Amino acid sequence: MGIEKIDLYQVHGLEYESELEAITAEDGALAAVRDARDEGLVDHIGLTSHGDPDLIKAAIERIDDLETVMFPLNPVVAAKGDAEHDYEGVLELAEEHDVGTLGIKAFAKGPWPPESERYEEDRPFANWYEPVARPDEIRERFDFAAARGLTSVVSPGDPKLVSMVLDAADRYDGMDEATQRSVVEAARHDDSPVPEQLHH
Amino acid sequence: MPGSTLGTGVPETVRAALADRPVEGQVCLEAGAGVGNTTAGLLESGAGRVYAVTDDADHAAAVQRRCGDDDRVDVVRADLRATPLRPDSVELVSAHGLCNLLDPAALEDVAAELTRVAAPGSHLVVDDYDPLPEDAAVRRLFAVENAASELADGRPALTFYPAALLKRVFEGHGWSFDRERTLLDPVPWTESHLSAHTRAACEAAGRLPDDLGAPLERAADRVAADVGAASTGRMYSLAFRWSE
Repeated sequence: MGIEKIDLYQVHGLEYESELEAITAEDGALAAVRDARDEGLVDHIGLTSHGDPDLIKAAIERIDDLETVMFPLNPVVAAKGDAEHDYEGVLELAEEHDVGTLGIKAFAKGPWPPESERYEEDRPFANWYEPVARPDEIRERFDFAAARGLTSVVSPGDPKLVSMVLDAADRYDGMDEATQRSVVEAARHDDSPVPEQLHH
Repeated sequence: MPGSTLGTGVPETVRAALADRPVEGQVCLEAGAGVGNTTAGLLESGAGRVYAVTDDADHAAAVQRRCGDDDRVDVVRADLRATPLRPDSVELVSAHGLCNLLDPAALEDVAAELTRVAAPGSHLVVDDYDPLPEDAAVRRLFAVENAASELADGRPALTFYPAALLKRVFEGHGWSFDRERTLLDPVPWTESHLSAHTRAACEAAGRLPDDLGAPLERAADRVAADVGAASTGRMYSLAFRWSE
């Protein structure tokens, strides 16, 4: 790759308890990454997952030298408010353990329409989910993710969106809690049409 | 903690309103239980018992389905102006998004009843909406809903009381004001809310003679389509203590 060292080596896509066991086993992937770190080839060790938040929490508890975790965080996920989507809990535990946090899917709007409605090659953005794409939406999503306390808000993959994300980051001036709740509430009702409610 | 309702979709507004209240182990009352959002929030926060009071059969069934497996919950079908609860029997009362559904006469009666059941030293949380700004388009939909409700039932469907007014109402019943916080600013009135309010307007209009009801139903549909989802206004949370 023409580089001397990897700054952050992330074990990618933790999904099952058995994988956590395999990674942390004596001869597991982490042992190899640690060897690489001892040799000076890797600086920091991280983990990515958009799976069960409890499993990510278990990883934070079990891997003493874990330095970062990467997981989804956006208003739609925050609005679910259940254990299956408790990435806020991951954020909290990571902070307690002084583990850095990288938030992905901050700009995700939802899944793409099925292939039957639109061919994959006709998608306007090179993301595997449909992103928000207006500057005001991108700014709201950035402000929300940053205000939740992430170490880093990860930009969406499509280069067309990155300049808008950088602009949002430049203008970032926090987002107060009442506004954060407002963004979450709007997502909660958009995403769960039943039962319809008169109130918040 | 026991129960199967922990963390099942408790809105952030509910969590923010309860965050600085002592819920753990307390006997609580959700006044106007809706779909049980506050009941779920109280259970999540470790309430000892929750009375979920509503006079609406569908709401009672919804709360029962959502939280009924938890043996700390009692769903009570009752008019909030006269509940079967004993005096001084509740340690924390929550009225989340309730008062805007009460006209002034009902508000007074419900405030008296919530005060009657509250034990010395108890807490009261009242969460509601400030009146919407004059230029908020969504006011037009609520105006149609209220017009249909006034004609059908002789009372408005919705009354948005300023925070300062509800503060004075409950202080008038002997509660000591503790704090106010903003839950939502702005308030997102989503497509889901708009369609629910349009349905409510049409339901009231449907109970009127056709010459009155039909134009109101058409107005509700037209206004809802015109207005579209918008974020405006403020939702607040007032907290009180009962001290004698």
